[in-house]
Amino acid sequence: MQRVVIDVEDKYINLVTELLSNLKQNIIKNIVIEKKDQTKSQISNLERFRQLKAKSNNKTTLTMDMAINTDEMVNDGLL
Amino acid sequence: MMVYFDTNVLIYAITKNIDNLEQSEISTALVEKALDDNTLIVSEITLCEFAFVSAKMNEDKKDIDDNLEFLSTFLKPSNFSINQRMIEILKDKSLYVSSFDIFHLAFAEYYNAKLVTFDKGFKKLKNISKIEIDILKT
Repeated sequence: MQRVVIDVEDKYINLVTELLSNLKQNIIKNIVIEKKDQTKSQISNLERFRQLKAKSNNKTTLTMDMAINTDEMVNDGLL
Repeated sequence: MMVYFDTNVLIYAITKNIDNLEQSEISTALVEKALDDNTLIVSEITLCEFAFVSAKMNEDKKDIDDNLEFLSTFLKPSNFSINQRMIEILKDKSLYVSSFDIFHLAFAEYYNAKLVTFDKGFKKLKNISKIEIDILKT
C-alpha cells in the first residue's frame, strides 16, 4: 500500500475529492483532506525559523556537551 | 544536494542562550542556507534528540512544541532499507555504542544527503560511507 499526497487549490478540492471517491475501493482505500492554515503557509520557512529563534528562552545555557550527548536518552529510558 | 544536520547543529542554530556565539552563528548560517535552498531533511531520531536536549536546557514547553512542529515539516521517513543498512554497519564495525550516529549515517546515505555535525565522534565513521560528513569546528 502506498500513500499519495497532493496539494490542491481550495476551489478544486471538491472536484478532486469527487474524482478520487469515484475510483474503485480496491484502488483508493481512504481519502483524508488536510486544510493548511493559510497564514502559516504564507510565511517562508526562513522567516518562521527566525521567529522561532527569536522566541527561544532556555533557562539553562546550552553547551556543546549537552548538545552532543544525546546517548543519555537511552539511560533515561526515553528510547 | 540535501543536507542532514545532526541534532547539535539544529539546536545551536535555534537556541538563544548559548555558551559559544561562534558556534551559534555558524550553525544558524548553515541552517538558514538549507532553508533558503530547500535542502533541509530531518529524521524522527533527530526530532527525539531535539526534544530531549530542549528539555534538558529548560526551553519553554510551547517553544519546544513549536520547534518540533516546524522541524517536522522537513521530516523524511525512515524505512526498511535504512534499518538494514544501520544493522549492516553495526554488525561489520561493532559500533554498538554509537548506534544513534550509525542511524544518522545510514539515513543521510539513503537520502544522498551531506551530514553536518559538531560531533567529532563522526570522524571514525568517515570511511564507512561515501557520503560527505562535514564536522564543524568546535
